[in-house]
Amino acid sequence: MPDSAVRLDAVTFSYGAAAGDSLSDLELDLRPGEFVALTGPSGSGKTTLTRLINGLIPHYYEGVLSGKVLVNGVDPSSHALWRLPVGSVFQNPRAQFFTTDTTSEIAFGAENLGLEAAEILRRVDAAIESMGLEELRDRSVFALSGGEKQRVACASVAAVRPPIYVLDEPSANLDLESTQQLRAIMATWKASGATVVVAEHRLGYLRDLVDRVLIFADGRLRQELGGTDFRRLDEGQLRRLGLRCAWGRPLAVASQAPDRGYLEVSGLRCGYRRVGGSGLATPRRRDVVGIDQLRIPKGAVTALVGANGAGKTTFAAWLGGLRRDRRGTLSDGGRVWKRSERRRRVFLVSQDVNHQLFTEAVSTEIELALRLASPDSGLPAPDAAAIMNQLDISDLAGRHPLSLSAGQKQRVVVAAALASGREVVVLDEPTAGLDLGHMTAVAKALRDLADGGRTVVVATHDADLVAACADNIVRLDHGSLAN
Amino acid sequence: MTRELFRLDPRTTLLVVAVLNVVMFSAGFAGGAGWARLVFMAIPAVLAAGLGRWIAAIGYLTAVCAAYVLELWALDSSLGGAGVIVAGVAGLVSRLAPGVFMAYVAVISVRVSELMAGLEALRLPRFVVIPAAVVLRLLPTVREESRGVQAAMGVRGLSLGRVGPLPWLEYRIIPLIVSTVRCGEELSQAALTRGLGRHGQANRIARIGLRPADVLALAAMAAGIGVWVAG
Repeated sequence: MPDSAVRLDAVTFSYGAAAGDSLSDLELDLRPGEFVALTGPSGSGKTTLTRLINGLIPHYYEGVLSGKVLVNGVDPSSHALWRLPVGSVFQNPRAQFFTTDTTSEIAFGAENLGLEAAEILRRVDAAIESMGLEELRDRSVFALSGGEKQRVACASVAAVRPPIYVLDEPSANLDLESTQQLRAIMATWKASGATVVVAEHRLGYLRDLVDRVLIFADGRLRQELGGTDFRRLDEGQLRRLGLRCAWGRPLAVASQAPDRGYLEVSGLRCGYRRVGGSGLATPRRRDVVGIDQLRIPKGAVTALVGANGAGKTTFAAWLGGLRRDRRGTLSDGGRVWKRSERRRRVFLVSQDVNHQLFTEAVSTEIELALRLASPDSGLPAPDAAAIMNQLDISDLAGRHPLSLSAGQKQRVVVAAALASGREVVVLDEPTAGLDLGHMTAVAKALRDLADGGRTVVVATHDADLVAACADNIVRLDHGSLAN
Repeated sequence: MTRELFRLDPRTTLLVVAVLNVVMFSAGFAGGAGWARLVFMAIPAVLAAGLGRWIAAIGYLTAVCAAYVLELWALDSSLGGAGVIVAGVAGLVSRLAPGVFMAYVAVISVRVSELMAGLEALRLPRFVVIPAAVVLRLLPTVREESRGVQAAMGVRGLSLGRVGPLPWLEYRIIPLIVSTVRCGEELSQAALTRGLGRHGQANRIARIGLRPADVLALAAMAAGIGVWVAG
């Protein structure tokens, strides 16, 4: 075995014409069996480092590469991608499956290597058993929850038995429980002696596993901490390093809701088909969001929390008038908003903001929203420049919205919500995968919306976001309100 | 699972798609040709119903039978020029719809892993196998993304009436293309890191091969062609 799992000598990389964050002058030596976390703000180059290790650079992203990269003693650029001894798990659980059923997916990597069928089946069984995935065998990948998809992705990589694992923000879209399951899988990899490299913003769940933390900024390695030193950092020190609060904080509100009255939800029954869950090959179980009575304070930020599958997204869609369910009302001071009225008065920012940006420039996006604004809200109608100023996106005015980073896109959609003049803004997981800086910017935007008189409901797993902007917490558990 | 009984081998599925389209566009009504068309019209309906898509199967069968009868009637009637137009339109529907519906059956029944196993077993080159698998893999994603865009347009109030047809089409299509392309890119990266780019034989564990349903489908096709040739 080579002395280094990964060795980089004076490596500088830029994507050239393609979008991506460059790295400069990186020296790195990862020992076999080491567990290393890469962190730092978006754009700092940690994803680029994962690509240098798994060979996507230079095999997929050509760019301009100088310096020397050795992965398990071999130079990725002179070996075909499939020869590299690296297993990769990516951020987006939806987009890393090549096949459409779980068992084939777990077998896929081993199949491609041309192993014997019997050996492939043995490895699939071993991966399923060691990760406790028996219930996920032979399922459609489209019927899995995000957490289940990530576990299947891990199993698929593990069936190849690589000596090095590379994960790029694998927990970005996961709730607490799924994140813990992911942690358990990584712990078995570490115990087996494999080298594990994880790029992450939220390091809390890796606390006991890391041997080393590398903090990147602007394409450079800024700081290196041993595992023990890292575990000693307190919240203030983490924040100064630009890191998310690592140690899993309890949910707590930032302030008390001002007394501006309530919107009232009552008698809501809303059936939904939950993805995921165990047991059946095709889950047909119908779950129901049932809320007898709930008061949402006006002019405040309400955080809607609960595990994946608890009904948060369904409730958000109902609030926005996207669902036809007839049982349940939303009322304002005793006056019921019918579905058509909810559609006019509520702005729903769904999880995937890429669907919600339609024009070719940030400024026209805001102007479009202003043009279609509801005239009857009674809130002051600001102009596009003021809105962009408020959300700190003025310098992006001429950019194409889809060329922005995830956090910037979120703010553009929030700006469109502001421009739409609607009184209620509902957001679904706006900070999934965002770094400290972007999360803080989104939190401030939500705070500003509420302070400007709008009612904000935000479905989220993100305790940092709740702490930074919420006045009120509502917890859903299996579709019902929990205390 | 009874539905498993109605899933064909991917190669049989492709053969049905191909033969069905050839029959539809080369058979008329003369002799047994009309009967052959009826047999081939029925095949995808039976498969879809067996896969649990009863409503789609009945809707398709009703539409395609109506078009068939209308074509026959319009050709025989003394409507003159109008009759030719009616027969032309009805004929187009009755000949195109079975192929489209069979493609739908293929999409809902063939798994990507089986398609790859089947096409690789036919020793087709990689530049055929991989794009075919990618298209099949991306279709459900396109549908998911399309629903997302539609919902988002509803939220923003971007209706046809308020923004006009051209901008509406632009708002409907561009985000869909962008997100599908992005998904395709992430997909290919994931697949490449998992050895898809390797040359040489891959062993697939997906179970493919002739099963009773394949035999029945092949027999139905043979019968259809038989009555055509005999008539």
